[in-house]
Amino acid sequence: MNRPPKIPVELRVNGADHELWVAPERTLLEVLREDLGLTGAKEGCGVGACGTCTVLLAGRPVRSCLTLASEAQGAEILTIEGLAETWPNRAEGELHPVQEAFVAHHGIQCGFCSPGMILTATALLDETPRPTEAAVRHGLSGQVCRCTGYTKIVASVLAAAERLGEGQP
Amino acid sequence: MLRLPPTEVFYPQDLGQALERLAGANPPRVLAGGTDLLVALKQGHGGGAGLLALSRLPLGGVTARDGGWALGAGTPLADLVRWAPPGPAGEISRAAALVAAPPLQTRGTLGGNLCLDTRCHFYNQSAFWRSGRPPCRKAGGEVCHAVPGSPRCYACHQADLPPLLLALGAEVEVASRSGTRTRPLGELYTGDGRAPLGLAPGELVTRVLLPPSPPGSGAAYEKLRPRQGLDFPAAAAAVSVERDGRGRCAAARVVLGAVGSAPLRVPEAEAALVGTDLDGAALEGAAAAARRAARPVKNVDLTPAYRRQVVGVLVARAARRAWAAAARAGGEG
Repeated sequence: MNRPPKIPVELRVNGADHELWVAPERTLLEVLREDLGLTGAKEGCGVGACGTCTVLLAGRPVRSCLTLASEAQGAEILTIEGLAETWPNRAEGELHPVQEAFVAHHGIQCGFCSPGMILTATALLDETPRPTEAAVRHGLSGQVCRCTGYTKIVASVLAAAERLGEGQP
Repeated sequence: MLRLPPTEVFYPQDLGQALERLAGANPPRVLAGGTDLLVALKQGHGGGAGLLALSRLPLGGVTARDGGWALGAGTPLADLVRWAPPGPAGEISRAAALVAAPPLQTRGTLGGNLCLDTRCHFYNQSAFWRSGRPPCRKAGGEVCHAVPGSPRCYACHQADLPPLLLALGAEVEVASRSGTRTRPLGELYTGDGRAPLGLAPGELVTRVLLPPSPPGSGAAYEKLRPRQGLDFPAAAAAVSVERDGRGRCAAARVVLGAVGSAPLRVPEAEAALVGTDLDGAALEGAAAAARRAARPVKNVDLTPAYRRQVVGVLVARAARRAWAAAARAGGEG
């Protein structure tokens, strides 16, 4: 088959605008990693089953390996590289509370699943600030950790919920 | 990186343009959320001249209609999860939450779930995996690896929402260049694993129409899967019931999922419930009818014998839950 011509795509990633020309079938994951150098989102399975490529699109988690780059046009894209900067009143070099909780509670082992895990958890906590443990487990049910550190990952998210809830009614 | 094959992607300006494109020679494949279609394309199941992306058309949203509901085909599953209306339709939100996992619900749509392709262990594999055998019927070949010697394709219908929507008496609105038509949702499914959708060339599913729920009615959907996340159903059951003023079942619908090439309505199971107060004997009668009607073959997760056994359990479980909801709706709970 002949290669169809490239198409213009405008992406807003971590608050920065990018104008790109991409082959129409390229996924958001390919463009993030290969064109924009944002290698936080990983390819694990490439078919939506593992969750390591998860990024936030308009605040909701999506599989970037199953999202065409052109489909992400017009929506705010957040990758792990940009997460800390979304946290207001942050000191230089400080991480987002969800990231800090993963560090403090050993929710990270090899780190491969962590970007998807942390972004999915962040979206979950935005919508459900005080989740039950069952809600955390359901929210993360699409994210696979091959180190099988699930207990500490769930503990990290619950700790992040506590921290984010400080000072809230 | 597992990449998509070179493909044109067409973003229509409006529904009319989309329908024109679908009506042409060598029409594109319809791309809704892409959570299943893009996997198939990555695995080498091509065909069609490019992709017709629906995401920029106003096909989503839920509206009240004639005492019931109209659900736009483009409504993301995540929006259905958050919808949570009172009454039997509320079960749609619960069922949508059981589809795959939350990040796939963000992009997956109602229409995509309705039009989900049938699945088989011998088909939903990479081109390399499949290269070790001759192509199966679903992949354009002449053999069935799941049921050797079979004259037909047994690919399994594993969508979560159709059984429940059928139990709720849903209709589907289909648009084409010559206008829109509404028909019972059951007519959308052919039962042919190779070509599971009864859509004419140029037709596009645009809405699901739900009739008003009768007073004192309830519905429930139950699903078997190896893991409580991500997996397609290996067996499923949806039940809706109406409870009359004397606490008897006045009407019932029982629909099975993932035990054949289409969602399967089981009138014998319904007959076992109607006229009873859903006592143990009635539930066992419905479960036994479901086990007899189910036709699982060895082409998805878990064994056919287990899936057949469990589909009866799921019918009883869904019937009990639907009955309890109907009792609450009728003010008897």
